[in-house]
Amino acid sequence: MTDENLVQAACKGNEAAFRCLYESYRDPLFRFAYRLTGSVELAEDIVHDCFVSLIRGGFAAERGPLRGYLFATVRNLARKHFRDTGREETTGSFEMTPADETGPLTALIARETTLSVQAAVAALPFLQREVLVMFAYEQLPLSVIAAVVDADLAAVKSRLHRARERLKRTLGAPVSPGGTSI
Amino acid sequence: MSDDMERDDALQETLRTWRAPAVSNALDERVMASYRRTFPGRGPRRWKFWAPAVLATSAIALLLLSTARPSRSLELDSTLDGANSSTSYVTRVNASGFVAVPDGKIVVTKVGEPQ
Repeated sequence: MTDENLVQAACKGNEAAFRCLYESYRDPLFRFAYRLTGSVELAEDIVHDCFVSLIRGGFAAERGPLRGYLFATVRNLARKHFRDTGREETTGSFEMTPADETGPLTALIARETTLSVQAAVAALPFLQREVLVMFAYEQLPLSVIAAVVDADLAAVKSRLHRARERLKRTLGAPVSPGGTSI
Repeated sequence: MSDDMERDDALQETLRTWRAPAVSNALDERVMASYRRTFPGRGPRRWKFWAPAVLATSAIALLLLSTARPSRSLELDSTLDGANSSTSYVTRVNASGFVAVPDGKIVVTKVGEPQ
């Protein structure tokens, strides 16, 4: 069953179809919202509102695949939040997810690296941050990212390039979790 | 600038050290609650499947109960009438035709005794 069929069924009251869609897209959408906003609570609000928009008939299959629609909705909701609050930076209240590292030194290095990455990504301008997060963390193709942010491919490549250059400068010569300078 | 070239470098490895937290159960419940509010009265499919069976079972149970009730009340009546029943005590107050006694005197009599 395609996403489009599932959406049709879900919008007619088929809860199983809706649950299937929700479980397929919940995690990537939440990660995207979280890395855009830096807040678990805000990311949950955004993902919730995104699915509410879906069941209220916001999706039109002729305008592109469902994945692009959902990511675009999350992106627009996050952008609206930043517009409403008058700031573009994330809240900076990131949560540390426990690392798999075993030794205390390795864990400390991993934690420091993670904090540096969080701060560096959070400091990116929104247009660069959203492109970088979709590309580097969610592995979305550039063509899909272009559709999500409603820009042409050249603009997306340019934003991604600037974001990566800025991160390289900010992070300097980052240290890998294994302790090797890279 | 291919996707593979962009992803396969040291920066990508460093970026991946930042992991997002897992989605909470609260979000799942909230989203499903919103869905059910939008489509009220349309429960899960398995409930729809079982609904006729539950209704039929309930109807049969009600039918059995309604046929069982008269015999039960007959049993009760027989205990009321049977004076030789030593273990069953039934208290019954017949208030039909009750008239308040003007002087407040209260007389308690057993059933069948002359007043």
